[in-house]
Amino acid sequence: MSKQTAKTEQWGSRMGFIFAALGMAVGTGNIWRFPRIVGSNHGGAFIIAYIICNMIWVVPLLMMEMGIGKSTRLGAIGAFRDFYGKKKAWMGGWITWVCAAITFYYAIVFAQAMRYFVFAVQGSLKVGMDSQALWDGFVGDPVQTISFQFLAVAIMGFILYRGVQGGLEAVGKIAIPLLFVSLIGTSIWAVMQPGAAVGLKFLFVPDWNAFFTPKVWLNALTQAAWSAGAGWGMMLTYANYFKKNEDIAVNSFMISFGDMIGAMLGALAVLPAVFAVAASEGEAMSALSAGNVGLTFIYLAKLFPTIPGGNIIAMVFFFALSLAALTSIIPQTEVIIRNFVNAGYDRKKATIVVCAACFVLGLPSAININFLNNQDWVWGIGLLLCGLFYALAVYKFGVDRFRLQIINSCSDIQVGKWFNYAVLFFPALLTVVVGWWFYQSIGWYPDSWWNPFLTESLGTVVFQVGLTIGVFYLANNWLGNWVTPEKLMNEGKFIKAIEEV
Amino acid sequence: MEMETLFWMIVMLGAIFGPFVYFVSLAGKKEKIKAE
Repeated sequence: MSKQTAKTEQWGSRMGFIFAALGMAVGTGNIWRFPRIVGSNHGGAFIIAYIICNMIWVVPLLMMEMGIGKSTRLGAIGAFRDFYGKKKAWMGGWITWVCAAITFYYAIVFAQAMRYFVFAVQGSLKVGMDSQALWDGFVGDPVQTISFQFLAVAIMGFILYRGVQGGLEAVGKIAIPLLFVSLIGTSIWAVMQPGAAVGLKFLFVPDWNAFFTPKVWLNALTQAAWSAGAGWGMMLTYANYFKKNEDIAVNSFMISFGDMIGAMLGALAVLPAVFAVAASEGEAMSALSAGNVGLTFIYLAKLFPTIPGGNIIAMVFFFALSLAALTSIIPQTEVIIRNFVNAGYDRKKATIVVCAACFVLGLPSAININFLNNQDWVWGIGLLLCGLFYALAVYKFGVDRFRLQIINSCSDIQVGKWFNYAVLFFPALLTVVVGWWFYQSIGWYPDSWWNPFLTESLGTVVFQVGLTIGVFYLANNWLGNWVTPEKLMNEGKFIKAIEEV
Repeated sequence: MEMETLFWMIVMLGAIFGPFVYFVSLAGKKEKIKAE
């Protein structure tokens, strides 16, 4: 084991890692996006497609991330430099940038969830209130949004400052059981509402005609890719802290299924309640098509107080949403911090610098909700591209070699050749999904889709993704030299290290 | 609740919870062996 590996922090126990990894995977997307996507994509048919998409995209991607992170023991920049080649450090840099860009605005999402938890505690969510006015009043008041953003960044900074075992692992052990208990409690309450059976039927009974439509599959693949945290560099970073014999295959499956459980609990908490209260199926569908914010902060905030016990459930629901955001933003920020640590920065100093930067660079999203929506759209597409970079790195190493030497050599279960086919299929999947989103975005702005200054246009994605890829590509040599000169692969220690496992 | 809904609810939740429980028990077993 090299000096670098010996100095690296490690997870205290496997269960500690599993809790932290589940925290990474189960985020706000499970609670506020999955229910409305499953609701607007024929329920049961979507769930079957979603499980299959998790197996062909999320699980292989998590395996690739873990394998690369465990083998190199470096953050994304160093990992791509040593695993893929000196000219590919920019890919790790860009993946880190995408994760960072999401983190900047995700602190605002965390802040919004906390604000609504406080609203619920204060009793501001009551029968007859104007939930749209409450939302507009909050996002239109920079003092409130920036104060809660500051609180969000301070909480995540405090946890990250405490390091892997004292921070990431300790919080996972408390937050994940609390999150699941909160979601289970909300789900039981929702399922017991009169009329909830309509929502349950909608959620679980498959519509086989819809199952064979491309829309269901494209939405399932997008939800799987965005929800489980695969491709962000988070699992690559967490794998830096693995013990030598840590299992890659079992962990990947466990995280993927854990993420799906979080999504199902989110759907069970939201859909039966929406269908129970809505005057008609049409009204329920209208609520589900109102977007993440519309469903959660406008519709549900109005719905909860109208049902007996709803005020307490509103508190528990927004508490769960806040926890989900917290446990996701921690690994996102760790992705950035890890690169600074690799560059020789003290972890505590790196945490302060990165959290301060996250606060400053998140201000535009705190002040202007359209800026947040723009960043969410652009880097959501960017995230899909990140998955391709991991696949390209594994192609160079050899897909079958990766499966046998890196995954199977340390796993309790042996991964079959399906992994090879899934990874080889990545570029085709990516082309179809990104192409579909681009096609849809042209429909949103038929006359000005090329305009880079519109919130959710094709032009803004091409402009921002293209510009940042160009910048990171040009900075490749600087990035490669910036992180530690320890090069396990180049010194021949890498192969020795994996053969020893 | 209709029988059809109950049937599909059990199938769907089983398809997600079942593998999760299996993989967690596998991970837990390995941790126990290591501790021993």
